Amino acid sequence: MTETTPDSDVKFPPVVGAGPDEATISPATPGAAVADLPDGIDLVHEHGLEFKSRSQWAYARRRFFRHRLAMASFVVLMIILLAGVFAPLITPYPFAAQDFAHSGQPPTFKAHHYFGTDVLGRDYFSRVVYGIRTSAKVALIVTLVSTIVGTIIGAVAGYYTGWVDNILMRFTDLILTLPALALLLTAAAFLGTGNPTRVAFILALLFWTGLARIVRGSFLSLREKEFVEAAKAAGSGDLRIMFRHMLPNAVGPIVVNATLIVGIAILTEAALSFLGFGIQPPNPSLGKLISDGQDVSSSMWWLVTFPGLTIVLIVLCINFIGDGLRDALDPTQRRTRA
Amino acid sequence: MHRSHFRLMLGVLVAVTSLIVAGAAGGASKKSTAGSVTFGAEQEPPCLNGFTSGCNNTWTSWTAGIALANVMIVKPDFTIKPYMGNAKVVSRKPFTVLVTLNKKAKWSDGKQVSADDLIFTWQTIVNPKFDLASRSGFDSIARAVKVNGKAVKFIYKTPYAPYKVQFATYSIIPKHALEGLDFNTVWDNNYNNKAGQTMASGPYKLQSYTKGQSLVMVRNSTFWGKRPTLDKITFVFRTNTDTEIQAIRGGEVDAIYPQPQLQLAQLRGQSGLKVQTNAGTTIEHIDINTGAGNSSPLLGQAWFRQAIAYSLDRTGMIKQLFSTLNPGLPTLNNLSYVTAQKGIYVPHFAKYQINNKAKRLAKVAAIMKAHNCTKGGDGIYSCGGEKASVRLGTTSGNKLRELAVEIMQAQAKDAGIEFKADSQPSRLFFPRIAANKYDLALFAWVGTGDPAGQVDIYGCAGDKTADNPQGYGGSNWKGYCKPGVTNALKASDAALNPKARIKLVNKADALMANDVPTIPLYQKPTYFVFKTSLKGLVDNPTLQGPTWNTEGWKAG
Amino acid sequence: MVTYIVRRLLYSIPVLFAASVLIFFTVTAVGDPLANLKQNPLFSQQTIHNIQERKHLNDPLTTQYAYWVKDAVTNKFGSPLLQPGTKIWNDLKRVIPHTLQLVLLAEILALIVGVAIGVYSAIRQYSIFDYAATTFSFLGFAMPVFWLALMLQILFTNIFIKWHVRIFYTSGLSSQDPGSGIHFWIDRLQHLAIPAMTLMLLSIAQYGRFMRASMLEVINSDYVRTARAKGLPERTVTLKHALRNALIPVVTVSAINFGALIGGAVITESIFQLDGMGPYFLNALFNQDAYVVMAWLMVSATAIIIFNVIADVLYGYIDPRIRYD
Repeated sequence: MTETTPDSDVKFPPVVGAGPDEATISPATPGAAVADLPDGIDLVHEHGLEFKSRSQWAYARRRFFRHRLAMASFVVLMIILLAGVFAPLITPYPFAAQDFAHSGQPPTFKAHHYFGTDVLGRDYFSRVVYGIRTSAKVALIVTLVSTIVGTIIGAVAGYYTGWVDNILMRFTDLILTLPALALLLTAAAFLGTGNPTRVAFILALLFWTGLARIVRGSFLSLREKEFVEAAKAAGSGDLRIMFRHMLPNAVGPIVVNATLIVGIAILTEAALSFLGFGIQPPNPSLGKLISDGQDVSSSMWWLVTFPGLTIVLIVLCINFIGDGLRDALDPTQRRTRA
Repeated sequence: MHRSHFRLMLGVLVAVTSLIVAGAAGGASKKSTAGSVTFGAEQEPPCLNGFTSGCNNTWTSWTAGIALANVMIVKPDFTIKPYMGNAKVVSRKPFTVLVTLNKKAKWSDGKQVSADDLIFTWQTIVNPKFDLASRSGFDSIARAVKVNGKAVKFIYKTPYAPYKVQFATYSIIPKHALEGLDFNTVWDNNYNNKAGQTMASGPYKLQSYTKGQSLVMVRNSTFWGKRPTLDKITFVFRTNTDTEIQAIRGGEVDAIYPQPQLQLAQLRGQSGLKVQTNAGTTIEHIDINTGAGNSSPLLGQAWFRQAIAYSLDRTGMIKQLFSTLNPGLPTLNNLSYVTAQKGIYVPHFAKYQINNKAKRLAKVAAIMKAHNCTKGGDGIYSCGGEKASVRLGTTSGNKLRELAVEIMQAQAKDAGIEFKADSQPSRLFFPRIAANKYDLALFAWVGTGDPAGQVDIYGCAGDKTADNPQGYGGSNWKGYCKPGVTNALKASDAALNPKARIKLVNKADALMANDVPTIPLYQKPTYFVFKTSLKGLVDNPTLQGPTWNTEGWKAG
Repeated sequence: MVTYIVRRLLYSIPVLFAASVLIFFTVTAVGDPLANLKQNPLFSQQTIHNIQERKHLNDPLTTQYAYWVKDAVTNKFGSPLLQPGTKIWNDLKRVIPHTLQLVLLAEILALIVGVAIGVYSAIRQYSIFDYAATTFSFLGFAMPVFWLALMLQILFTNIFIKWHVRIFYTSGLSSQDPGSGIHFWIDRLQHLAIPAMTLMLLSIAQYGRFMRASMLEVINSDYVRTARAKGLPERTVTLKHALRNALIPVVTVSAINFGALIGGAVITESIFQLDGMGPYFLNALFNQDAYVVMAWLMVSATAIIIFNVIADVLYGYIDPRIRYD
């Protein structure tokens, strides 16, 4: 039964405690102990308290750009993603070109086999780059869909509380009770496989639950805050309060969880490929490359290492970006060192 | 550092050290005692009654099945020889087989293995109440006549040529232990008689079976043959190939018999380990759906199927896949016999193997031209408006098969035929084939080296029913029906003269080599790895498996 | 408090019921449990007919659901599709403790190490240790389980080959004659050590991050500042006040993890041949045994529900803001 040893313990997106602000205070920009002067002080018009106020997003943007680690990660991630987008231009070989005479070669600069070749002599650098393309597509769809679904469900549950909350959370529990891998296999068998988009949608059906709980937790505490009362008093409708006032305050944990989901999505896609539910050959995805290379990983280490490192790099970058984003978007954050 | 931290760390250090010490001490004393072998079994039997459909698994017979001896045995050279007895044809009309048992053959509880057991085995197998995997041969027996305590004459309804295979495949079961019991539920996790004693007629008997972990066989002192040297054979279940490799390297098991996987190559040349590989009797092939359910009418044309066969460089593919595992694995060019069967195997399909790439592409081009096909802009032919594009699927998750698909995709593309990959995990793959929803399917038949029952796979000699108006054989999912082939294969099952039988089978094979309903690829290699200190272990690439001769095994 | 627990438990019952319905109809919707058998030459028409009778497969789905529930409650989940002589619950009873042992070992160790890393990262925020710990967390998070398992197996096998000392076993649950009492458990620990290490890595990464986040939040909170202002030594502040409160979310997450891992350590258990829930499920999938699959999903779902209740109760106990009114 060696052909069916699947990969990857699939874990749910971690449920951060359903309490007020998921507090991963990230490193503030070093050396910025002094509060910023609001831009646009027109020193010429210095009479009175006239100053030009900026929108929250402008402040956020500026704080993000100050966050060095996030910026560096952003650059690295862009390089990786653009490599995927412009794959046909930068790959020295077609990803399906087999060459038995040169199979199983370790990485070398000769003949442009930077990542070596695989068991059938295909250039591995090309395969990894095309793999980035496929995996990025899957991960993006999964993250978007599950984030949107999870946020909506959590927001509605946390805002309205009462029986609405009860039903939604019980439904969330229901999805959570079914082990991810088992559900994936059953759903994949039902809906068919091979198509990365289909795979992505199946995965997305599972990953919104953690986010829903977090958003619900945030909204539960946020609804007691004064600005919500104020908005209500001002006559704002429920939807407006939820998405215009409360959501920006809850963005921190959402962003953090979304970044975690990306990583898990890529890995779960690898698990599906391993089980045979993934992309059809010869098209590569990072997950399929790892599962294909696994057999010979002790003699041809590069087959697992390069796609694996790529995944790690992508996940790392996204998480540091997430740190930076949350840092930038959290209006209550004190940029002081602990 | 805080005192409590110190204490904690000290505690952890002590715990770990004591674990290591205990482990080292334990490891030293747990060496395989001379006289016992630990065998890593790649699959666990679902249950131990190998006759029933639910428990039918090769590893059932290779592990616990050692306890139940058969009348005949298939040797590694594919010849069938007497074992616990013999089966001989004594009359052709009516077809009668005399089965005799070794005088010394007895069960581990002291009772003789007798003619009653033979008759009881037959009756049990043909009993419709029992959910049995297969009844071939026994369902052709009309009646049984007890000759004496150790011999029975079986009179068949129609001549059954593969009678030797029949008595090599089915074990004999004890009447006194199983009479009156429900065979569907009995012997699920033991082979006990009504008094709770374990029953065995083979060299080793089943001592214990811990589900999910191990199965222990101990020497059967009442064994009729040569006294088994080993005290004990322990089968531990190790389903993951990498785990098996590390286990045998590290001495946690003494022998393994894994399915071929690329990483096994590292065990060749490992000091202290011996590797035996052979071409086995599992036939990897590509079935072509010539009838309804395929996606291209071109598949119904023999010339197109021939073109597909010509476009593949099977030898090159086999070399690339197996050069490290089983160098020299031959290409299979016959659908019914295996390459090791000298004088019997005729390579009818060899004509499709053209090693020179240019010549190969030229041959395909010539065929295509002769049928007015033109190459499109993407290099793929179109014939009368039909694009030469078909689906090729296999069981996904099986690495070697997936690689084979990728190789053949590239080869066919060079020749101008497109293979679209269409693989599914086996639980989805096989139902689709059975429902005729495929074009080309790469999978394997588990064979015995004997072509009994091929008419089921390639013929249309079955009952014509509403579901199956053509009468396709039970395993014929190709929509292939050629009277010449069907008649030859059907006759071969009744041909008692071995030479005549071989001729008939090869006649059908030659016909199929022109029609190409199936393209044979290779015989899946067997891979037997064991410690050099073990003696007497010999790979048997037939269905008998590596444990066919355990009575001769010696440790150390 | 008690009413909260009772209410929470009561709410779980409809969830369990809904889960059973979802499980049953999903699994049966995937296809006829006999589909694969019907085309397998090893199964005769008669056999298939017998199975249909035994499992009432010709009855409408709702009737089959009723039979299934009845079997589950009164007949140990009935027997597997193809082996009428065994009962599914007996097999489940055998495999669940093995999984529990593995998960317990892995999670406890992961908690200890993860919490330590998290606390130290928080105390020494922005230090090299902090950044290294974050990177290590993500490496652990993204590492494929099979690869880590293989590396550890190779490591300990090589140690044995070189120095002839067997520290840990690379596969299996127990040795052939493990003895009894303390010897049995040491042998079991030696077999579970490497799989636990493999499972741990993911959890350590997770707990490390959460602990750090939680600790940071607590460290900057008012009551900790008060404690400091009172003049208490930094160590007491950290370990006595901050740590305790920071631990709570981590503990609740680990409770949920525990429940999830009961059905989620599939790959690790398969690779290391630990006769647990994982391989049992894989086998059932491979054999397309719908009844085993459904029973397994129910057990897994129940475990998750129970541990979710525990987690919620724990959290509700600690943080009164989160309780239902």
